[in-house]
Amino acid sequence: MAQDLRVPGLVARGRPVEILVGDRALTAFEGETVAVALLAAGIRHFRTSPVLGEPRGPYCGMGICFDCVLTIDGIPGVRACQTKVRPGMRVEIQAAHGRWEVEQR
Amino acid sequence: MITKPLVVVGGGPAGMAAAIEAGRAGLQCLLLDEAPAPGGQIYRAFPQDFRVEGPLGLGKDFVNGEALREQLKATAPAVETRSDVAVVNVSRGRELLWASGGATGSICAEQLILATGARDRAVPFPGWTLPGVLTAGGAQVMVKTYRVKPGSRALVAGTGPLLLVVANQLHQAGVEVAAVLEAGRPWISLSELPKLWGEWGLLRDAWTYWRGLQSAGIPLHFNHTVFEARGKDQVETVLYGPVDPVRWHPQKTAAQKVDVDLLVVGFGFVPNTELGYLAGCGHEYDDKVGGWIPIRDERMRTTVPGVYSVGDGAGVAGVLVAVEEGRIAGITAAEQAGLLSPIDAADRREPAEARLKSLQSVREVLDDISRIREGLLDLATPSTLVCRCEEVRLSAVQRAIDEGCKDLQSTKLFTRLGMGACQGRSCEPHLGAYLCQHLKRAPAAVGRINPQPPVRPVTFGTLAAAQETAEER
Amino acid sequence: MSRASNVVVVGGGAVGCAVAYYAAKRGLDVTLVDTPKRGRASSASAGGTWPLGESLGLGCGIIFYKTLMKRGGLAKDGIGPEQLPDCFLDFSMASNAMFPNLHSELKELGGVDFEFEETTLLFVMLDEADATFAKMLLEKFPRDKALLRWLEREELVREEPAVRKDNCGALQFLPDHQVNPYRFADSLRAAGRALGVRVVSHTEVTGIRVEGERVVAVEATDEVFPCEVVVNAAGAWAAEVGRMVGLKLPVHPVRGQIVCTETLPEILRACLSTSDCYIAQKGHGEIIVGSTTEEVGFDVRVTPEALRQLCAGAVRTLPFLKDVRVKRVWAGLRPGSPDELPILGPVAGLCGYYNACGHFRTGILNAPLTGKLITEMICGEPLSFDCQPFLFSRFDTEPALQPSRKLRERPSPISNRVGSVGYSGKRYDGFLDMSALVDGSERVSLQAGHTVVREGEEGDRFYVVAKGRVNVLKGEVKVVQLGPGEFFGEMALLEQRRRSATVVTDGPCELMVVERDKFDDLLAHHPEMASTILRVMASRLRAAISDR
Repeated sequence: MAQDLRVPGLVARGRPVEILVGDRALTAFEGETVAVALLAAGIRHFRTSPVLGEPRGPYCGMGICFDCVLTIDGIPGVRACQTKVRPGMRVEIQAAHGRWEVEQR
Repeated sequence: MITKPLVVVGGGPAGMAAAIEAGRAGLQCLLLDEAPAPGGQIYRAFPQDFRVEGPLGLGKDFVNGEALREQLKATAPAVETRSDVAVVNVSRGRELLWASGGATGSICAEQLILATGARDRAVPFPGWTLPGVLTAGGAQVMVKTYRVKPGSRALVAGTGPLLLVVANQLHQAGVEVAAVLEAGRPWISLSELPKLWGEWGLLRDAWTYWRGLQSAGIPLHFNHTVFEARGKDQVETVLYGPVDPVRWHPQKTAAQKVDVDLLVVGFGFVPNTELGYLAGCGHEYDDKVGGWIPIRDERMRTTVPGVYSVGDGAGVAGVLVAVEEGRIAGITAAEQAGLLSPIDAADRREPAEARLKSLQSVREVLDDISRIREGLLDLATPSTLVCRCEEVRLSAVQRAIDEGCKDLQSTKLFTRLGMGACQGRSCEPHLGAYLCQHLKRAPAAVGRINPQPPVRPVTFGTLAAAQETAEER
Repeated sequence: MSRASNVVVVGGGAVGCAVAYYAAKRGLDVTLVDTPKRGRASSASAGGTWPLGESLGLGCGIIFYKTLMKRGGLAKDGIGPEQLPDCFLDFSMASNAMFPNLHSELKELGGVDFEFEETTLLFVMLDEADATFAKMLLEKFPRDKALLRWLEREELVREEPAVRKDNCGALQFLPDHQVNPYRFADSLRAAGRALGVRVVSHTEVTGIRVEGERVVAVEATDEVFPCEVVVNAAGAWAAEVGRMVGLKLPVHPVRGQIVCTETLPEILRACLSTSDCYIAQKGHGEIIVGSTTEEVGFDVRVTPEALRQLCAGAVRTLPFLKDVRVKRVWAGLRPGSPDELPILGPVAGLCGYYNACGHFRTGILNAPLTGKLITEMICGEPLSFDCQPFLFSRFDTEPALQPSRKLRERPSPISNRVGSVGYSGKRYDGFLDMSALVDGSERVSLQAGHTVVREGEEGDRFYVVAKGRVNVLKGEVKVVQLGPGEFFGEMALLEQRRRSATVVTDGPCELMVVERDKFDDLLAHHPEMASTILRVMASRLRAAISDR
């Protein structure tokens, strides 16, 4: 069974929301941020740093440090700790600065 | 451009208190806050989609935060609160550029109260970039606001009373806390007790948290700190040990090991001064309250007319001080706008001023205990990353010094530290202190990584759209 | 007293470091004195080394050209875009050619890589006006046309997939490259140090000692540097250093604002210039978008207007940028000179003093040749490049040195060799030939302190200073002083708008006044004058746009 680090009790979370992390489907809850959803599922490695290729994940948790950035719905460099989950959201663990879709269709 | 009689930036305790007092005096006030709901870091509200099933067990921060939020609501319509709005620039003194989602706009504030709060101070040590290393503030957000365990077994290290709070919260959430390491000495000694006399609330809090650790069997080591985090893809082992009690130099030969998957580090806070800096406010350096702070008078007025600065963003002093500072600024702004006579304003300020005075002696004790000591600069080794964003090692900074760099600006250009996404917010305080120590120069001579807009990320598309609106007008 | 130095270079930007490096390489004893100032251009600049782009007046030139096109005031092959004289193109090309060798040389010597990148500059055409402009550039290009390449839409899309699809092609400038601008100064400094340059940082130069007609020492806050030669490479602050020897250098700060993206993977191959802005992706991945041209003194604040305009301009060319975040905006101060040409070399009557300033937008690009030539001058060697167009003496409207200092006409041996000839007999650009104005204008005499135009008022007259001087004020602040041949009020001719500044006579003054309806005639009959006006207008227009 998938890991769930959510603490029971005291609060009732929002409605369940399905998101995709890579090709893995995760259940998060409305009101949660992407960082929370991933950490709750035991995912800590959010990106690989551009210069040294080291694993990185949330550090400050409040939008200051930019260490939790990853690719969300095709846009790289998005702060996971400042982005709320949305149904159907596609989250990708980001290598270096990610891949930008620069060509116009 | 819309003009507002008063804009308060930041919806933490200080900003809420300022807006409440201004609103009570009848001053039209706009409160801009980047979070989904007012509260700031300490009184951060649960996500709106969460439903609280009774405040029992949620602690006094929750209760106090709710109380302030209620008072704020009661001041409507004088006070208008806009959440999810980040102020990204202040130009020409009091012209604000805000961004919210994909929208942006400008507001001219006749008076401006900055209540921008503080952020966790980043102290580099080997392995501090590994996943599983979280700041105390970050760990609190996870466990307190989102009710998620950021790990299963934790070590908590740093300085200041927040460590006890976080350790308790982690424990209550079911995280095993291996130990709490306080770099400083015991917080409350007999000689300092008289200074705390009268501040029963604070004493009681400290006692409660201390007891919490004791009953949970969590050891608390004074004059100890983290030396190094190790692990392949995340924290697996932490090396820690004693520091000398005066300067906190790590005694690395006495290192011990502990296996944990979560390392929470809290070395105090650094005021967020970017907006005040862009507004043109004069700043001074005071290491007791976090570093660079705006110069203020006793009514919270900065050196720029009509601009006030309150709360931890004006010098880290905690929530109790923040609230009273906010009140004083809100009352003064209303007085300035002609809505309160000088006598009325003085009457209203009086309780807040008395409270600040009473808190002053506590502050002195806490400031002295938690003030960051230079020994922590020895935690990083030459290969330690000192700039997380640009992955700059300490050795590169040492090379820059050898090449003649004598301030943060030239070191930044030489090494790229502070040129990454966080724009130096993480590395500036520590590197500033490092340069001061190694070059034997004063903080003012070492300077800053000058804040520039936008102080929060905004897309080109959003900013480009702002122009069209302006042209249409 | 410090040890005697042969050469003291004042200013540690790209130009100062280049002079120090070449002088040290030649075996001279060099001290580089520098103090960090906010807005120094070397670290604020974009780092494009674009000899063709800069010489052909991309940026200001094209923006202005389009404004005129819209007014219908432009004949098919009438007034060309703002172009700098051929001597500038030759200078820039020669300096540009030095980069590849310099790059490896400096890396070897000092260990700092300034990230020289052989790229190209593309003038990206987004509409018909851009295309007309580009065709004219191509036709009138004064050098080997093989340096240019015309790209059709499909070719551009292939080479730069990020550029918007509905473009009109591009004109490619093959010799135009880029460097990391702040690394460039670091790299020269490090190599200079390896060759024995003494770098004195965080030290403000407060005076220059002259005995007789000879420079003998440079004074700093708490140190004196005895020397035989002083080189003024103080960038936007060069006029201050000039004043220390009684020299009135026409160098003034011209603010440019730059927007920088978050770090991106490699997306652009070339640097881009459009009629809105220039765009360059740097070695570390950020895309830099510039810039404004504003005369606002030493103010290095950024403005919300510039931020919006640059972002809009960038998204117009590169649509994907709409989702990219702005990391930082900053402003730098270019050392502007009246004719946009650098001011190099000695001045008559003062032995041992050399200018290496006024590089405006091209300090990085022209630093290597400047360093080399100044060194040759100092050593009394034959110059490897003709410097006459760049000598201070081209501004022959006033005596070089103020009369308070008693100086006889006895040039130093070095300046003898270089010569002190005016700029090939031609009036330098930015000044108008008054005789052409006689027909269409009215000459008026004014007393001292008279307000000619007032900021915020409406007006539709154009003024040329015939005699005396006027002060241009923004609010209470004096922005600039204008003298004979210089003009103001041209904005009112372009569009109905309020005066952007107040102009007050400094002393008794005579002005030529041109009415709005006479102006077009004037342009038609005097194309020489028109291009001068246009050039100055272009930069002022830029300033006005970003000031609004």
